[in-house]
Amino acid sequence: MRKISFFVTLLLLILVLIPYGYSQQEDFTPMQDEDKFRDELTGFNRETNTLMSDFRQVKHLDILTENIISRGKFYFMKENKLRWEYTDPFDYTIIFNGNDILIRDEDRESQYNTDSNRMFRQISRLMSNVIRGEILEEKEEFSVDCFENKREYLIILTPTTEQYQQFFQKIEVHFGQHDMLVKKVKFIEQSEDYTLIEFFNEKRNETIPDSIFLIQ
Amino acid sequence: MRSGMKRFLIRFFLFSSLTFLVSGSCTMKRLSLLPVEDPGMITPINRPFSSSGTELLYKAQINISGNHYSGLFAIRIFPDEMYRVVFLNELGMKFFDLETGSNGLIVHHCFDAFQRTGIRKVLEETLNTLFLTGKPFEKGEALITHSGDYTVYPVTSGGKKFCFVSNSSGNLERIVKQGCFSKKMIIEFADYNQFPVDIHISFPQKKIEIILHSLENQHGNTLSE
Repeated sequence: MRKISFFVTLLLLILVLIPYGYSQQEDFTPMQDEDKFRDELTGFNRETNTLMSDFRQVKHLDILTENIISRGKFYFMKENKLRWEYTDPFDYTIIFNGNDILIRDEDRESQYNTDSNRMFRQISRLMSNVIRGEILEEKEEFSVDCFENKREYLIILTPTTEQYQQFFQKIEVHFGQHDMLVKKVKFIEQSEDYTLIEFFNEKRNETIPDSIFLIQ
Repeated sequence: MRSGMKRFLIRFFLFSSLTFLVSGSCTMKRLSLLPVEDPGMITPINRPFSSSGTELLYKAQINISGNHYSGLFAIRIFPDEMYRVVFLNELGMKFFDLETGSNGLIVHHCFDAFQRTGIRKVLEETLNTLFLTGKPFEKGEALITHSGDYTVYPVTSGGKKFCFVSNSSGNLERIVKQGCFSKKMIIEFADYNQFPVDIHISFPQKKIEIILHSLENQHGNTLSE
């Protein structure tokens, strides 16, 4: 009898806690004032010349019981210079400088041009627009839905073209409301596997040497 | 007509010479191996990937006719000799997600560049040979090198000829798929730490190369949290 009452209590507790946990995750509501958000974002982008940050990338694959974690740093300089550098557990750097791309994969270096490589052109544009918070510019290839909670803005991009649909079901971008900096980005695939990138130690408008974007 | 006959004879002569040279070189290779007098003395071959439930992560480079792809190769070994392989770039974008086992190849996801029939066939062949799945691999009589360090097995699978080379611990070090005149596929395993740490797969005639290096073994810790 005691056992039964224990399980009934446990069941009730679970039933009470599940909606609480769910609402904690899903406490975003549709954005009240999208124009205000757009204005804030435009102002932020206008006044941002450089950005740098550490990042932690979590790759979730349904076939693996544990996630793949990698870490690194990114640097951005206006107009279109981006350095995305993994330092752990492998060394891999990708530099976008205008139309040129340099990939340094441990000892190997490869150069590409976005004009001749459609995939890199798309990645380059998407990555820099996401980091700069210029994702609203992606309206040709994505439908955009805006949400908010007390701390963050959440923008959900749903691809409308086949090119992006083969990679993503949707992209979720979280902005801090107090500083308009991107806090995390989640790329969700059709299979529900995802890549989550979280940003730390973000620095805005600090001097970044031009040489780190150099492609020779 | 006469010039046609001349051309035929020249071609016949060249072809015969080439065949003689190739078969001669094969005989030379065979001569350097000795038959195993007591089969009980040789260590049986360990399958490179066999423990069910294992998850492995490799840093991967794939070169296909001048195009270079790099990223991570995640392998999951399921029960009943079923294997799932996902190749994704460093940014997390999936190039392919394939499953192989007794039911053949199942494609869960495949990026455009790997969709071409030739490439898909190469991938299927690679996975079947790497994991020894697909049509059964039947070993012939073993031969050993003079030093006794390596055992060489002629192997057939679905009418295709292979050559397996294992070391004194029974770990596979090399798999070669033989063509009529040259090697069609070479898989080299190096530095075992329960599973091979380095794997080099090449298709010399097709200019395709796959290089895998275990990440977990290199750093001595797990990547996951």
